[in-house]
Amino acid sequence: MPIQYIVKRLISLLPVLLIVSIGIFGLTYLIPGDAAVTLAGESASPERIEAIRTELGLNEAPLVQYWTWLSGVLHGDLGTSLYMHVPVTTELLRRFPVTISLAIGALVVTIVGGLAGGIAAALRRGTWVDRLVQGGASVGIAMPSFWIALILIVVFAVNLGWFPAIGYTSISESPTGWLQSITMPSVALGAAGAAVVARQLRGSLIDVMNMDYVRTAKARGLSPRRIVAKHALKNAVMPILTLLGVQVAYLLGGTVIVEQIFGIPGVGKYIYDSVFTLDLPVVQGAVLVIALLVVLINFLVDISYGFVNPKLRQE
Amino acid sequence: MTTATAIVPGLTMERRSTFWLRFSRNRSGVIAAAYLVLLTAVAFGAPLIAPYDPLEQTLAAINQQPSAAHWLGTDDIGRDILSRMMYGARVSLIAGVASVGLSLLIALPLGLVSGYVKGPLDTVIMRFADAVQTLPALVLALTISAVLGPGLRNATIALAVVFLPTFLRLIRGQVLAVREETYIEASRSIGTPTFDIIRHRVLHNIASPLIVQAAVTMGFALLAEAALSFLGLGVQPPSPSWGRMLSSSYTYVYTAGWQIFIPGVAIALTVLALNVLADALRDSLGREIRTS
Repeated sequence: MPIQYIVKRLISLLPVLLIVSIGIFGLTYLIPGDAAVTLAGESASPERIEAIRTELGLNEAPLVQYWTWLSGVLHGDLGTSLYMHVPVTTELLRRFPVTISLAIGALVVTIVGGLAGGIAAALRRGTWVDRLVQGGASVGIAMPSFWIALILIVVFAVNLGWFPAIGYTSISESPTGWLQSITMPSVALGAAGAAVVARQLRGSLIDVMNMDYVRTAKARGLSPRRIVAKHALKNAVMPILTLLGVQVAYLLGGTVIVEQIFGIPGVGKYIYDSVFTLDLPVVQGAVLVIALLVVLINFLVDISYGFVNPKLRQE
Repeated sequence: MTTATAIVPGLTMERRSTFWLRFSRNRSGVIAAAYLVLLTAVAFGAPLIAPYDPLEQTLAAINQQPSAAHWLGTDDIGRDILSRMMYGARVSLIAGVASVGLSLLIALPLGLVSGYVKGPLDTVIMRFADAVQTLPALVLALTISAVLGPGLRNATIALAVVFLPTFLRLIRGQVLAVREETYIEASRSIGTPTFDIIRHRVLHNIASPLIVQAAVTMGFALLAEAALSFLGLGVQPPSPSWGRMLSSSYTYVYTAGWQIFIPGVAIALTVLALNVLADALRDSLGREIRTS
């Protein structure tokens, strides 16, 4: 009953989304002191402070505030930036494609790098290739994405001049320019994920390779390459699916820092810029949308699990 | 206590000695542990061994390459990078230990209750964990520490919140597994109060996976603190921190590009050491039940 399964999963998301919305709304109350005074910034006029208080509805009871905010959100209205005076929804819609294209680029790096490394290590288990992949993966996991970004800039932009150090070209403007501007950020963002995937895939491939049906395939004279491609990979890829769900959340978080370094005008940079001015409607709106996206992706991963493995639907 | 040690695997002296025996055979684990001990000594002995004051500016000697006088060179306002690295190590270590410690302090009682008592409280706690996990770690840490105000203390609090779900889930899962064991049932049937069972029996048996997870999380905390500092939210200048040093070296990427490698290598090496240590601990801890 796939439909029933999907509906059940969807309903189970509701309480989580409710808690998330309360948490994000509650950010206002985490601000030390009088939120309106803090948000208005230093040396703000009393009128400005009052304006912010009214704009955010801080005079009302918390429950009323939450309800007003939530019903706005449900109608697609995330409020207006306190500083840029642009509706948050408009700005998010403009910036989302940029962040998505970066996230897809990073995901490609994660998947391609992870698959290549994992398969190579599992096929050449115990050789220098295996040790290289394992060592590389350990180092890759330990390296901060922003450091990888800086190294890429120093090597490929400053010294070799292959890529622009910063800036973003949209794909509609120039596809090659887009590819150039997105390559280094994608590598910086996706490298750690590739390391995690490679390590996991190596492990699960080696497990699968020890199974009876693989031994049978070997006994019937299939080449190791063919065994991996046609049989082992299919079964080893299951845990990777869950891992990718987690990785997407990680990638979206990483965009905050990577977009800042490379000057990419996406959602991450939007959050970064607003966090320092405490532009609350922007922070709340952007964080909420990212949370929704993560929930959606994990939901899709869950569903795809259900399709691949019928046993899970029974629960 | 002889009966207790016989019933409860994990209280015997043997366990401790087998752990050390196994751990000492793990060469990379020993190297990682030695590195971390050395780093801690350097970090907290910095006032005694640092060659310069980390805040002392020598404007006549800015962005100098490594030399005999300045082993790791000087930064953009002529401060000794080696001394700043030594002091910066404190920030990384404190942030790592404090955020993991704080997170554990909250997660331990909640997770134990959640797993042992179950019921509606368990549901509420776990939905909360789900909710926290819908937010990417960096976004959550950035938002919380920005709203609370920049600084090491608030960054630590933010990271502790980020790590909560992982610890909660781990503790709860372990408790759920342990509570069905025969010796817990035996303990319950002779009338041991629930609190004592949790404290004496359950806690001892979930310690091993928790220690391993704490080491892994500390590595992650180090990365996250560096990221927050890099973005300007951790320790505030002029105090040195590795993340902050990376972001300021970035400004001089055209004139002194080599500077990005010093804090970067330190961060990566320390995280690597914590991960290797965690692996070594995993291999050395917790197999006693099977072997005895």
